[in-house]
Amino acid sequence: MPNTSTPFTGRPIPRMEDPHLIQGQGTYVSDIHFDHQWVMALVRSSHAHALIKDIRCGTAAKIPGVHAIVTASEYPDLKRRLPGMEPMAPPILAYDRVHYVGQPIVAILADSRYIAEDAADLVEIDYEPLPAITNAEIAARDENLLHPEFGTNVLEHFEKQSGDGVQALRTAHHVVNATLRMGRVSAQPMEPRALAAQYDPSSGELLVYHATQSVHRAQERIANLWGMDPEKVRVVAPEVGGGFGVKNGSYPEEALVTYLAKTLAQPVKWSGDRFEEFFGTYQEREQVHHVTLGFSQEGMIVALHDTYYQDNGAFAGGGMLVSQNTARNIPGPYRIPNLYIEGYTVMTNKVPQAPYRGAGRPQGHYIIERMLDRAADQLGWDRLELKMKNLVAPKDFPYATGIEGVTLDSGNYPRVFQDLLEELDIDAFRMRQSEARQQGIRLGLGVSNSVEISAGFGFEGVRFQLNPSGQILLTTGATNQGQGHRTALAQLAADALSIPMEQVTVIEGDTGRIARSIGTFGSRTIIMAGNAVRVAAQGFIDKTRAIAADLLEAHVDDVVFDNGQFFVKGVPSVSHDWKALADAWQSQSHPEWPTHEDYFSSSSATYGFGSHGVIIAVNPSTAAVRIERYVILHDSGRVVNPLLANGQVIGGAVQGLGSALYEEMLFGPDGEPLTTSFLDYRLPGANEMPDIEVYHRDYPAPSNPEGYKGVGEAGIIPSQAIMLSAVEDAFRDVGLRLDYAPITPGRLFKSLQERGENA
Amino acid sequence: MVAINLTVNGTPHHLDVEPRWLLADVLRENLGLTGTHLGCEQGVCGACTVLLDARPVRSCLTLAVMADGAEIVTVEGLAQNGQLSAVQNAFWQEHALQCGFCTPGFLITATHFLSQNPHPTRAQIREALSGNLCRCTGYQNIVNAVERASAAPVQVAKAIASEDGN
Amino acid sequence: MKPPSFDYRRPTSVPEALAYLEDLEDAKILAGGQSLIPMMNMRLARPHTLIDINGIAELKAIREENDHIIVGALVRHYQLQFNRVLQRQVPMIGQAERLIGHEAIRTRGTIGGSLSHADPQAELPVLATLLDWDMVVQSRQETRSISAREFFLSYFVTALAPNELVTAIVMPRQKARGHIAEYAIRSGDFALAIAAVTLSTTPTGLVESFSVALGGIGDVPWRNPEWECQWINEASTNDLFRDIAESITHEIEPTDDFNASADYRRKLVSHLVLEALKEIGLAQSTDDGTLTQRRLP
Repeated sequence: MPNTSTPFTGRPIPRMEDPHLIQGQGTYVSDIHFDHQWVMALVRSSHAHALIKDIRCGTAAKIPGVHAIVTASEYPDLKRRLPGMEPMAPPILAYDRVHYVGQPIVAILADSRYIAEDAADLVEIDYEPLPAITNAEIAARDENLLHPEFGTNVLEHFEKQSGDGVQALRTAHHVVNATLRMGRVSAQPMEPRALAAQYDPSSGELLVYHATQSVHRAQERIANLWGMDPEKVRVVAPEVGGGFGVKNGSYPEEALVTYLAKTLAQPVKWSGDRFEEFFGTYQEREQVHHVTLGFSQEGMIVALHDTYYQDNGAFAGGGMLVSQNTARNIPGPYRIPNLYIEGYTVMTNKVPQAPYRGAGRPQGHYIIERMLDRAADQLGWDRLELKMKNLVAPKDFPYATGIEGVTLDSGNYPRVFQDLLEELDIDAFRMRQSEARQQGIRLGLGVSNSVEISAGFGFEGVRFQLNPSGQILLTTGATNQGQGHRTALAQLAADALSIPMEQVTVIEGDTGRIARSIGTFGSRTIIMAGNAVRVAAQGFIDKTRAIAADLLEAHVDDVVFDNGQFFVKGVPSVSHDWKALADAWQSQSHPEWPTHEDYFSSSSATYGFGSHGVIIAVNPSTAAVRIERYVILHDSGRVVNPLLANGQVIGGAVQGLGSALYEEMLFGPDGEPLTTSFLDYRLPGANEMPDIEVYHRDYPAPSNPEGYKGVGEAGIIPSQAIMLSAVEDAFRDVGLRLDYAPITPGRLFKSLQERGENA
Repeated sequence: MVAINLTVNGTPHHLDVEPRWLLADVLRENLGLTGTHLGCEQGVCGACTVLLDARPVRSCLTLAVMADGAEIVTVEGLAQNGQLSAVQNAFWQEHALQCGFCTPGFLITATHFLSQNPHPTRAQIREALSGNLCRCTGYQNIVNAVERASAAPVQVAKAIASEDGN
Repeated sequence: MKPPSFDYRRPTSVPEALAYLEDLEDAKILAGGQSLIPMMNMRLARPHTLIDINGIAELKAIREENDHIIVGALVRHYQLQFNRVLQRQVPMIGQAERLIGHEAIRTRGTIGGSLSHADPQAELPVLATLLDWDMVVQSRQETRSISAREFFLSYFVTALAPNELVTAIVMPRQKARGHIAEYAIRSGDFALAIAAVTLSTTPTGLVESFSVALGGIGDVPWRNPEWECQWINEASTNDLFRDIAESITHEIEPTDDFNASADYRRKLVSHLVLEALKEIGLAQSTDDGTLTQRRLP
């Protein structure tokens, strides 16, 4: 079995994907055209809560180039509920009621998007508006029900306890309370969602090009929904332009495009636009927490209570997972012996929630970090010392946090945090901060410590196949949206098989090429597929040893593989490489090429860790926050490609800073979205963001053979907490308290005004 | 329909277009040049940026009829004779793209910027890129790539210091 | 989203354009398209006819005439930025152009289009109001001139009649040093507040001329020449600048919306006016005095 050196793994190798992409040769769903395809546009609800009294499509149907106007009343199959969204899913097309602005009601099929939108303009819908519910805590009282048949607005209510959760607060010497909120956030990948499907009636096969994060889950949803054999549904993800969780969900457009392609035996394409990303793509983060944190006299955490409400939007979406994950992440890397957490996932008349990068980790982290800051400020302790003393230490591993299934297992949190503080040079900063304040300049410091829990469920598969001239084909069901799997997995395969990377081709995201997958989300692919590479490589080598044995005219048990060569034990001078095996195989005219498929599964999560530090300057006149320095000390476990790992961490951090400083999905009192374009919903741009420094403190994961940890969401976890922390620090002398993220300039101005601080 | 002439990446085309068709759609659908991407159709995200008579424009805010007689350069026209441009190569080496959707717009913007500002500071680069949105990379590697392509010395170390945890 | 259909005309002369404007129903002028096309892509604007004037050469000229510069309506933002005559004679335009949108927008957007679009969050309408530009406006019947003060009526509404086209902008040579400052949450965004100021002083350091125009705070650019008068002949010092910056906040009723409260806009205005005054003061003290030697008529 190979080799002790690792020529490819661990190296910052530029990506194999890139030459195509930088020449504009990448194919995304919107680039795909079926012959004679019909293009879909949707008529979406303009009311957050209303009865639909009438739908008139007559004039719309008359436009030349319009082929079909589809409503649920004419196609009753579209009254079915979206799959995978128990216990409360919408019908595919609304027909008697609408529950959020943007909910699809009518689908138009035409020769082009231009024409389809012309027809959409002419569709007339009569609504009878109903009162809209836009506050989760109020909705939870069930005075007005969104879905009377469901009986309540509360999708889920759960409690989690550990230690003496409810009673332990009584023993606390100090107690701190706060109500903390996070605004609604939208992923806004650069590529809007899209699907294109073609059905072949003679074979009964449906081919779907899908900007999805999981081809097999999509296949399962589609097959189940339309009563098809999954083998007849092929889902292919071409290049996908960013996912961040929201391309993993069950959406009406997926059901519509597949249904119409099949039922009308007509290729159908839907290429969403940015408008639809604001109205139709699931959103996340919006929660309100009522928290109490209790301490011993010496500042050790005794107990935490948190009752929170998640504003989940009008249907289940994927929001219950977010809410549960929030609870899992509240303890973070801190020792909290007694916990009582109560979560309400509540429906309101807004777009549904579904996981968005972080998926509850940022929310949980926000709570503990903000409460530690608050406690320090209120009780006269130093924030940094309070955090340090409450961190789980290596001697505590394995450390059961009190949340089921969350047991911290590796790393050295106090040491890494200490390294961060040294890197920031706290003493020098405090001096500079104090001098600056004399000049009326406000500098602030924020730090945070977060754990990234990844994987811990499911599996991923890898299949190796020997091809002509010794090329190795690696197929996996992982589904990339920019992570660089085709490079990282090639690095691993090249090492496992002792071949140059150029000899490996990675195929992913196609249900027609591999039978099972979970998909790419939740920072799991390298952990799962990476380990699968090792397992599958071993099996592949074992299989191909038989071919080598043939060539060497030896018994297979006497053949070894080492460093890319097959030879008889003890006779390394006569050896064959993969190319020789391929040539031999070819000359024998076998119908199929040697292949081996294997899966890696694990129910043990991995625990990455990050200590982040930020130094900001606040402009006192505009209340604008400028980031002077952002430092990350990061445990990524065993790193396959540092370029890719750092790209994920930095990309996630910047994305998170958007939701800390600028990004907020706002809704009016009638449930109408106020932020509906990039003009109002402000993504961070190159001029707003700093150069982020990333330093690695990598501790291999004990929970999987290769030691990988998830890294895709690490950057985004602390953003909101750390920025609020830093802004408060900048206004420590006026006792500024911030309980809401994002901290936009307007909100900061208002908070300062309320403190009488507006020179 | 209106007859227009467009030269795209050096190749002349005669096309009949509807006045309302966006240049981006004509490039993508009529000419099959799908490298130019539509991210917002509002002129904000910059993914659709192409060069029109040597200057960057939003092809989502340009009707094809308005480009009649113009010379257009798209991302497909940056490589010459099978050789990647310096900017393209720099993006590759510096990991300046992840999903690649915004990348064509950045490449065009950066190519034009460097042609006017051959030795920019990092701050100037960030300013020049501020009209293009990226959701994946956090911009830093894109700035590094533009800097690399300008052959200016890299001013900020991309701090990747490793320490084995054991 | 995609724009709706429209009839399309491409006149090659101003009279032809005016004839279309007059005769065709619900016709809109298409110049740079950087404001109109996004609205059409959202189907918020649905003109029956678009009159594409981009081919009309006579609208693209910049020329000097006595004490004025006459700028054709089709001159693009980037051309305004780099034109030598304007850099010398109306230097505030160059300052403003650096704040306007991004490179790609500046390639296509035009001065005539920007002014006709009358977005109170845009920079050129503020400059027009500050520097007393006149809009040369033509219809098939007549040519007339509309001063900036009378041109901007409300959000996206100007004094243009449906059959009128802005063909040129007449700018007095800028006689006082100026500075434009704005605050936008991200660079290139529409500004929450814009302050454009001109100030000149006598050799003894007294205010000789002073004007302020504000944008982003109401439905049209704000200016109050009566209020400006009181500062003439005061000693031009930082204390005076602070007084002006404070005083102006009492003169305005800024918009209150989810982007910024009225109070916040007031504070921004105060800060931006002060910043602009200080910048002018700084420039004056390091300058060879070119602008300050010019006398008001």
